[in-house]
Order: sequence, then structure tokens, then C-alpha cells
Amino acid sequence: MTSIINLQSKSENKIKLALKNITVTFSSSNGHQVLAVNDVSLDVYEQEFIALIGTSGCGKSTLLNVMAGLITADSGQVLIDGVETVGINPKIGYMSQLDSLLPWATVMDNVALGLELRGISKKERRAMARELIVRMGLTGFEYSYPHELSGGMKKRVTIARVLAIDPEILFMDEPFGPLDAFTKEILQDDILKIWHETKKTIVYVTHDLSEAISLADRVVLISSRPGKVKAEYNIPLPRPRNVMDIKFDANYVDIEKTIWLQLKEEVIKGKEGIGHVSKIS
Amino acid sequence: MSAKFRNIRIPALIQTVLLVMALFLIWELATRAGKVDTFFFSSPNLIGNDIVKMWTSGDISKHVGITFKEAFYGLIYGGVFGTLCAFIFGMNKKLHNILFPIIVGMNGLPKLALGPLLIFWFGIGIESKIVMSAVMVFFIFLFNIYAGYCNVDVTLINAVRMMGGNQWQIIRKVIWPSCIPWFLVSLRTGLGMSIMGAIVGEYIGANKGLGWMIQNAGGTYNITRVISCIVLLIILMASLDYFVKFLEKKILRWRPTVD
Repeated sequence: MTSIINLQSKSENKIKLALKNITVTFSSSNGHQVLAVNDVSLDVYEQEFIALIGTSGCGKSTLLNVMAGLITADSGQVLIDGVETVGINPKIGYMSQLDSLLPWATVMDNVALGLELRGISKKERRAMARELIVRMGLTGFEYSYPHELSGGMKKRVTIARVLAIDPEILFMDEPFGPLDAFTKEILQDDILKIWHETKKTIVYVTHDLSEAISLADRVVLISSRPGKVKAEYNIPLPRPRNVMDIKFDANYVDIEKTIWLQLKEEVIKGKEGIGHVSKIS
Repeated sequence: MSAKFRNIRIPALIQTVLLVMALFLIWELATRAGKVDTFFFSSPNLIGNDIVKMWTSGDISKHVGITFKEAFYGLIYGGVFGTLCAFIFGMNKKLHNILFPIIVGMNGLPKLALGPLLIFWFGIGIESKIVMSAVMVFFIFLFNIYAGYCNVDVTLINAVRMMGGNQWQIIRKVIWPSCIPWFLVSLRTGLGMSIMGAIVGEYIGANKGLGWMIQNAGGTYNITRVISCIVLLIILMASLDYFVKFLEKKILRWRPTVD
């Protein structure tokens, strides 16, 4: 496809995270072995923003959990900075789609949680947390509890919390899934800003194609179960991007169409697994 | 009635007290009118006088004090041991699978049946009542907090694990705080159970305490004394419950409230 030109490939950068032939099987409740991820290899470059996209249940979250060390793969290796990693790696910060703030802790204590776990003194971690609270626009809510915040604000607290431990790699698993479209775009913009400022490597899992294209340098399409890398696309849209305006870029529609044609096949394939509505006669 | 008057808010506690006073008044009037036989039902006046008498003779502080002490230690031992066991079972499912059927079976047993054994093992003094009370409280804490442990949000555990939290930090930062509402429920239920345990223990064999007083007075048809003791028990229970509720409000500030 000529319209997709590799304008700003990060491939000169060194490989930050590598998956080598990862295979994961689950035993389902009725005792069957289900192949969730099949022989996936993937290189993520330093400071790259990579998006994994696929239909729901395709194994993209499983893949992310393997990279994070929360799930052990049946076979294959995960390498970070060229070293094989087993279990949880402190270089990784993880933001899941589910609300994972401690409901009994204030915004301040939630943001400082990772620092507290690492044994940083109360005074020091509070100072660091306060800085991040200001940066995420949460001033005045330091001593509120999560149930007193809106969905978007909770996400900001979660972002502040993951930034507090200053991870080199950021994993985001459909982080803004349940939010409304406008809040989502504002938060996506925040993520882009943070990425520009901090130069972290970001692995972003989503099922929303426009989200993947607006944010990422590279989009990796994962096939329907069992999950496999079906295709990879470099996204040649200019940086810095503005999530709200990028859809009107001249190349945007071409890119979206190219990827969609492949993604559509997976959607249809996935649908067969779910079953379909039959015609009422 | 004017709208202004109807809008006056009377605190719930005052309303409760007013209701009780009204019931006592009806009871008193019924006795005065000769509709109720004081030999069987006593009267608020007699009960009031009896409580004053017990107060001045020092019987209240002595016997209520003993029962309170038994229940208090019973609650502490039963509560601590029950909470600990719940956590051990939560952390070790194998142990849980082996021991839980036995514990469930034991809970089905009427604790009263343990009475003679406890008196035989721990004597007629305060110890046997503490054990009786602790046994009754233990099961409440164990079952409630174990249920709380199984209800912990795995997302939170994973979040803490991903931030580098170890097993001990997960317990302290996630599991224990999420068990606190269950702990407070156990405390409220356990409070009643602990007093019940102490009274039951005193019934079986004792020479002091509220349970013993009730038993003793009942034996001599001193109905006024029996009811006085019951009134004292109710006041004791209600004020302790009030205290736990206050505690609950303080501790559970992080939870959205229904009202």
C-alpha cells in the first residue's frame, strides 16, 4: 500500500521489549484446552507508541498480561532490554481497563501507593504525589475518596499513580473503555502529551481502530482466537498530534481503510464463534 | 397543624427513648388500674426502684461488671482468633478444604451443649464463661471475614502486584482494608453473641454475673429482679451497639453511603 509510508520509524531505536514465540493455552471451565495466543513474536522499540488491536476475546489482553508477568506463557520468552524476564518487572507500569484505585484510600494515598510499596518515606512520596496531582489537574481533590470522583477523574488518578513509579514501559489495556467519547479524547490527548514529555515506551491495547491510529506509531493487528500477529502498520501521521483534529488529516482515512479491511475479516470470523441472529420466518 | 411545626426534626435516638417511655407509661397505668398482675409482670415503678436498690447496694457494678468483663474477653479472644483463622484459610485453600467441613459441623452444634465440658475444664469462675463467649464469637468472625477474604477485588491485588507489592503488602494494603466492612459486621453481631455466651455460661454454673442473677431471681419468683436484669442487659447492648455504629461511620468514610 503506497499511501502508508514509513515516515518516522523508530526501528533505529534499540529494542525495548521483545516477545519470542509466545503461546498461551487456558483450560476452560468444561475442561477443554483453549489456545488463546499462538506463537506470537513482536519487537517493541524504545520510546515507541505501539497499539495492539483486535476483536474482543482475541487474546490481546492475555498477551499484555504475559508481557506484564501476570500470566506465565506455556512457551516462549519475554525480553526487556535484551534480558529474559520472568514474573513482574519493575520497569513496567500497568493500567488496566478496570477501576483499580483503592476505594479506601484518598487520591493522595492512591497516587503515592507505588512509592509507598517501594519504601519511600511519607514526606518524600507525598511531595512527589502532590506534584503529579497538580500535573493531572486534580488540585483540590487530594483528600477525596475515589467514589467522590467522576469516571474521567478516576482515570487521571490512575495515570498519576502509574507515573509516580516512573516506569520505562507503560502498558495500557483499554484504559478509557467505559468513558464517554469526549472525556476519552481529552484523556488520550493527555496520554500523548505525557508520552512526548517522558519518552516512555507505550504498549496500548484497544479494540477501537480510530483510537489506535490517532495515538500510535505502529498498529499491530491481532487475529481472532487464537491470537496471532496478522499484520503490522506504521502510522505516518505527523507528530505532535491532536486527537480531536487528527481524523481530518488527509492520510487518515486511507490508513483507517487499509487496516479496517483486514480487521473486518477478523470481526466476521469472530462473529461466527459467537453465533448470529437468524432470520425469523 | 402548621407546616412549620411539622418540619421540626426530632433525632432518632430521642424518638426511640420517647417510644420506650410511652410503652412503660402504658404498662404502669395498666398495673395501677389493676389490669396487670405485678406478681407475673412486675411494673416499671417496681423495676425502677429495684434498679436503684441494686445501684446503691453496688450489685449493678459488681454483676454487670463481671458479665461485661466475660463478654469483653470473649469478644477479644473469639474475634482475634476468628479473624486469624479466616486469613489463614484465605491464604491456604488446601488447609481450608481439609478443616472447613469440621468447623462447619462444629458450628452446627448448640454451644449450650459445651457448657458442662467447659465448667469441668475451666472451673466455675470467669474463665469458663470467657471460653463459652469466645467460642460463640469465633464462628461469626471466621465465617464473615473468610467471606470477605474471598470477595477481594482481584483487580486491586493485580494493581498492587504490578507496582511491585509483595505478599505481605498485598494483605496489608488490599485484603485487610477490604475485609474491614466484614470485620465491623462481625463486631456488631459478635457483641450480642459475646454477651449471650457470657450469660449462657453463667446460667450453667456461676456465683456471680447478670446471668446468675436472672437464674437466681427466677428461682425465687422475683420477677421484678429478672426484668430489671433484662432491662439492664438491653441498655448495655444498645449502648455498645451505638458505639460500634459510631466507629463504623468513622472507619468507613471511604464508602458511598446509601442515604
